[in-house]
Amino acid sequence: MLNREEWLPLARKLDWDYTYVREDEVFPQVISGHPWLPHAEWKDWEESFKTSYREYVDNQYEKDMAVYAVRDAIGRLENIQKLAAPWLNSLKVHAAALPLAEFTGVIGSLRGARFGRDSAWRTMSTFGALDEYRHTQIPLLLFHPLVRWDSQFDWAHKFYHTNNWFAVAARHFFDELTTGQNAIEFAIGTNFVLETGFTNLQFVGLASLARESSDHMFERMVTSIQTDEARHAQIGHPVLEVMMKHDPEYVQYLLDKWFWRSWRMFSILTGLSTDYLTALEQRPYSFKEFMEEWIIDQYLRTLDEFGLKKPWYWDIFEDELNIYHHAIYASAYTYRATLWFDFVIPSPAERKWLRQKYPKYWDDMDAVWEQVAERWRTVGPGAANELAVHGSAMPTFCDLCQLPLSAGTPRKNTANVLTKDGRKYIFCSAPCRWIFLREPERYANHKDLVKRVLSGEAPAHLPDLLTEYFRLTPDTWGKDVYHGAYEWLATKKASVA
Amino acid sequence: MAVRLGPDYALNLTPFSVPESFMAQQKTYWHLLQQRRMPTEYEIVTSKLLCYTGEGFTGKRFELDVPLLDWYKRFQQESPLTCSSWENFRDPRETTYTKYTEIQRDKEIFVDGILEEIDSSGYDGQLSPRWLHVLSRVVAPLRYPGHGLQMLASYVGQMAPSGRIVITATLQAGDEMRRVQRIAYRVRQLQHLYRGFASDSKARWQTDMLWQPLRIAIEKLLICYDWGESFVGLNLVLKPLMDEMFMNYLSELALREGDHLLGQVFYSLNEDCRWHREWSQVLARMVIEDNPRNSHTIQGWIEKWHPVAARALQAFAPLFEGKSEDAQMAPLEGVTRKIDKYYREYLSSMGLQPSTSVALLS
Repeated sequence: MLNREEWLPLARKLDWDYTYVREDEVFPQVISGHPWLPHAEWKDWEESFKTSYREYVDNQYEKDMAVYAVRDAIGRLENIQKLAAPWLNSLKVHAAALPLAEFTGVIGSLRGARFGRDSAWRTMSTFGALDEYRHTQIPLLLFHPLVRWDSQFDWAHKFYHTNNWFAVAARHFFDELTTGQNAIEFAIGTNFVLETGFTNLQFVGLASLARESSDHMFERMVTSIQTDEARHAQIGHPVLEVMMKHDPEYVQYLLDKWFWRSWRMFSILTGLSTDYLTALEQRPYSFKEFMEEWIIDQYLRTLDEFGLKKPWYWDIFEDELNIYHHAIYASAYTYRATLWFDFVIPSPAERKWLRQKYPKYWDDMDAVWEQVAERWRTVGPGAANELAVHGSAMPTFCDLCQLPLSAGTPRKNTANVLTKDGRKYIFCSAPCRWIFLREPERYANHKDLVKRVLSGEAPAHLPDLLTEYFRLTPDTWGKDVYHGAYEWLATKKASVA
Repeated sequence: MAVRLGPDYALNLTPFSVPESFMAQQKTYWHLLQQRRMPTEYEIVTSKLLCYTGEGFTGKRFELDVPLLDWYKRFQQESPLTCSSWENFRDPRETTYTKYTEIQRDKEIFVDGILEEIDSSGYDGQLSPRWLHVLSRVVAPLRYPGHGLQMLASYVGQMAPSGRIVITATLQAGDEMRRVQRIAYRVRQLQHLYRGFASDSKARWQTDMLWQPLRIAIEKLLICYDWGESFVGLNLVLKPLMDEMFMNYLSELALREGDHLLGQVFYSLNEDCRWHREWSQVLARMVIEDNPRNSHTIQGWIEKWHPVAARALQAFAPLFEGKSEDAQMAPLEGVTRKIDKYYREYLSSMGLQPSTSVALLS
């Protein structure tokens, strides 16, 4: 057979000059993206993988077979049941967040496959769309048998179809990033920022946590997915290169915006797993260390390579690395019945580890956990007491990221308000406010959960909110994994007594 | 911070009734429970994958005012093609990703075998000059409209109102890429023996009168943004006609001109096209059954696009009728009539018919 290099160029550069319609009709700016440039500016678009269809179907079939062989060998229910309870709950977070988000990636990739401005870009995006179908399919299949055992795994499919507060935030993120986005912003936001940067957190970091936790099925799945991501993520660089020649200021804006929005989403998805839902002895590093090693260094190097600046909010971001996901976890524990997975209280040994890893603000967080532990001591352990150790006041959500206001530190909250066109908005942080103000036409009409309750769209009575609006049931809503029955917690109580 | 712990947090969460369905052991995902049987693998991986179409729990569309909010409203939600539940569509082949790579890998191994035979047997040296001319003028430029078809399938996919339609259109876009790449491979093989072979493909696509009616069809379809019309124009009009002419009758011509292996490659590529017709037929039947007005809508689009596609095909008629000036060959009897008949039968299987104005053109 001929080498790919010999014949593939004849299949990759297939743009032509339109005669019977206009180029800007074939690639309208609203769906192709800004800056709108004639094809001549895009004609040298190139990436390094240069996959052929022939190789693609061969490799992908082999990769699928390898994943399913591992499932058949070690992915049976009895294997999963042996995993530690906290890790299983980490699995439930990712089971819910992953498959249907990947499917929005099919749509975004198809946007590139049609409205990408060079045929080589469109061809790579076609592979990307096929990849994302794969990433939808594998987790839906692997988690399906677990539903029978634990109905919280039902959220592998259900999550994005509910109005659960975290689902609202996730849809708010993915609808803008993928499904409803133009080809250029998709290439920058998804291919460049999310896939070259943040999916390392999910697919490399999480894979090593899974390995440490003896969850080889999940490890295999995410590692296999990462090999596809690494390929189609390459679409971002050459798009960015062309944009830099024409509108570097806009490039800087898109990167800064999507880095921040991705940070918000992944600090929860990965942060909770890394620092709380993995057993202490199985944590190879802290979330912050992982961010520093896998995201920050690489991201800053890339910015430098393209002559771009660090985001203006970098100091805020670096400070948040010490606290944000801890605050979110504590909030989520306090309101665990509003989520579809179970939680653990960090033990004294874990709190010691967290203090060591996060010396800057851990004392403040520790006080929160002490308060939670004290509450359990007061009411005593047991499933019946779950809701006696639970928040009751309605939290407030950020009008940009749609997450509870948990930024800043317990001593210095960074929430800030804005009045615009007669409406009041609240933001968890300065970057969220900045993003909102750059494109208010996208965000200003959105109603957060509190506004929905106030307007009668969502039920005000908490049980109704949980069941009718969040689609949880007493079976599925989140609890403390041990219902407060921690050995260390009882021991301390005994010693205090 | 939203952590609020205080003395008032005992919540009165009982009593309230728990629906019975939740009490029984749940055997599958929420949305498949109503089937009352274990779902197939296809159902598990393809059902209710879109969250913005109003068919989830939330009944919502986009969570926020995304940049393409109006685009989706105008070209998807307000499309004249309607259906009470797009989720009812099922790909007749039930193509999961794994199944797709397995089927296509096997087809590609088959094609590899043919292409290897061409290299090892000195096959290309025996092709006649007049047939080489056809390969250069008619087969090599097909990469350009082929890429156009890949773009069009990608559009139908991104705008489709259910996950399963997204998937079939995505796989179709993959198949179109396959066709483009196999033709590219074949062109390179011929270039090894014949220097500069088909190096004018782009110019031919852009200026040769043979290609212009097809280029009009592709370019006009590219700016047809109503998703229903895009689907009909592509999959119920242009592709069935074009695929049949190129994959089937050009293969017959090749066989007669001593290029039997081209037909074998095209046979394999045509298997993909057959599936494109099959899933499109299932989708058209579903919407017509759901709402008889859809039949009228689709027929209207056929009236609009069939003449455009027919002109594209007619440009190639001299090739099959032995009237091509620069490649004199004996005619292949009745190709136009056979394609007409085949297309009429395809449409009639959905209760549709060819455009009434097309007969006037031939």
